[in-house]
Amino acid sequence: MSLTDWIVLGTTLFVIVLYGVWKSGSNKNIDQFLMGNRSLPWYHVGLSVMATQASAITFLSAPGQAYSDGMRFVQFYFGLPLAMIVLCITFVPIFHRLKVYTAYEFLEQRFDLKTRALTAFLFLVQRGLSTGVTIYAPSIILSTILNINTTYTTLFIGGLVIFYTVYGGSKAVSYTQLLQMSIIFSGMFLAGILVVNLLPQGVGFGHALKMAGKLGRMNVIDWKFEPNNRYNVWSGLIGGFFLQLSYFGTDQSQVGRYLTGSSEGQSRLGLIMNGLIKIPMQFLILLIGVLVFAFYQFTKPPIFFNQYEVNRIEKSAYAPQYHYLDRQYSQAFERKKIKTNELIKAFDSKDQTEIDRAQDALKVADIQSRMIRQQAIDLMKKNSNGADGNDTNYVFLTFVTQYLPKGLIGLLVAIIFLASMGSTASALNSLASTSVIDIYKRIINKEASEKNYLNACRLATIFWGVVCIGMALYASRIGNLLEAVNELGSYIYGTILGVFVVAFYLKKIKGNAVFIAAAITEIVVCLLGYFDVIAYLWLNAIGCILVIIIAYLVNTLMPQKSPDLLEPGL
Amino acid sequence: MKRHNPDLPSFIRNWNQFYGVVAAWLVFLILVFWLITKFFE
Repeated sequence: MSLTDWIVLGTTLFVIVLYGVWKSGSNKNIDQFLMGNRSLPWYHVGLSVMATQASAITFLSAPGQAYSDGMRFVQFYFGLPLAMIVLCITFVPIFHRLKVYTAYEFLEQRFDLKTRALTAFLFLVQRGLSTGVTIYAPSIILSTILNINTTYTTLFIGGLVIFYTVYGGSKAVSYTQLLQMSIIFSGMFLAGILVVNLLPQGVGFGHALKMAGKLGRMNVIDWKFEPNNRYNVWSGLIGGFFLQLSYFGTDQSQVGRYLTGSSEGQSRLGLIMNGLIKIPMQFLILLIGVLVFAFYQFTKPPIFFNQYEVNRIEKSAYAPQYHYLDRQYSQAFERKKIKTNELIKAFDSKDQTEIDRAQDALKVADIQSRMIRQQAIDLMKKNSNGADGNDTNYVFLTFVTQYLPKGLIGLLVAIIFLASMGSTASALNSLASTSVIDIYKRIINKEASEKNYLNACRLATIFWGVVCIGMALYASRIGNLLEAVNELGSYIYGTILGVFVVAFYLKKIKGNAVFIAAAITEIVVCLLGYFDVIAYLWLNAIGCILVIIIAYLVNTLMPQKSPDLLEPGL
Repeated sequence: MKRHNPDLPSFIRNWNQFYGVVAAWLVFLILVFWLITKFFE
């Protein structure tokens, strides 16, 4: 990166953090610190909710995914608008009416303390571990691209987030996210325009999409129902619905965001905004990936985008074989480029027979090119067992750093930092609120002063920040931990959602029944996930349904101690 | 006459109508995406 880029990067981060700290003001009690005094308007709530969900990986991985696999990933979000509707009807009114700080507080009022403690504990474990990954994943990519040690990028992201989250609390998180999302939207939009401008003369936006379509990258919709296919309309609508409902309804990092709304209506509006914008936003991010793919049909891409793995093999005994494959890949690319240009000419001629012929020829050239690339990946794995054969996350940033003008590179790298900071800040705030409200204030120290609880919130934020940074630094040594943590959410969310669904809709079911059901379901879901019986997206739906069925059965079969406690009066 | 909810945009009468708009938006997006898929196939 040039000096200009470093200045843009530094200034962007500095201004955003300063703005967040300035707007947050002073926090005098936990309501201000954890909920921002419940005073934020709907657009704040909406952007905050979106920034929390969109981690750095969203902006790194999604364009790379479209580059290698096409647009079908967008279907993953189809369940989100429906989940927002259910949240607005069920979760938001109850949480607002009860004036809870955390979602788990409600479970004690409905069931008992042990159910509240169990769900809070599951959340702390899941969110604590996954936030480490939220910091680590972009750190390693930024380290590779910027040629800086991972430890420094991890400490930088983590340290900055701890600073403004501890200082300004929930308001600082929301205000930084507001600015972060504005910069992220503008930066991605600019990147999209520049990719189109970088296409060769005579190749326009339409040509790029048509050509990408002929190579299978415009596969937005897949109607085929296959349980093991992660991305089709049905897994997105059904599996995605349960996943998003669990995430937004029961994960405190999201609940804490929409409870900052100044009223029930403003919280609802924020969620609806998310429901309306999220899918088009994801579509546009993926479209940038498709445009990058089109760009690399005219400009030679590296045989492998992860420079770290390339450096490793170049220093190994396999280097001569790798260099041979690299030369082969260059030759294959030149042949493919000729076929690509022929296809573009065929598009202009509007002769369908010519288009079909050129498409078939390009597909053959593409397969040859991909086979050589696969051989290079196999060689990397042969050289090192732990080699990462997936370079999806590196595609977009490699393109950005190599082809975008000075200044914009700094801005786009800043976007990756900002996205990571946005979701990490929400996570730290939610971990602190659950630790203090559900454990410290409820179990350990019930009668302390407001100041004591406020200090506890700040200390808890620092504690979780340090834990997450530690996790991120440790994750670099255990590769498999990353995957395990990424899937952990699906193992836990369904169960917690089941508990909430029972709480909302099956009012005769008592705490003991739902507690036993949650414990049994958790074991079943973990076994299903461990033996890879079904795609992980479905585990949320299975977990939720199992809790409901088992809780109903246990409640029916268990002897009832006192019939007058059957109706908790919610 | 029922007062308009100040939280809602002026062109939306009640929350249920708003939820309907969100559901219709989803259907519209899926249809557009399906047409895009077909067009660029």
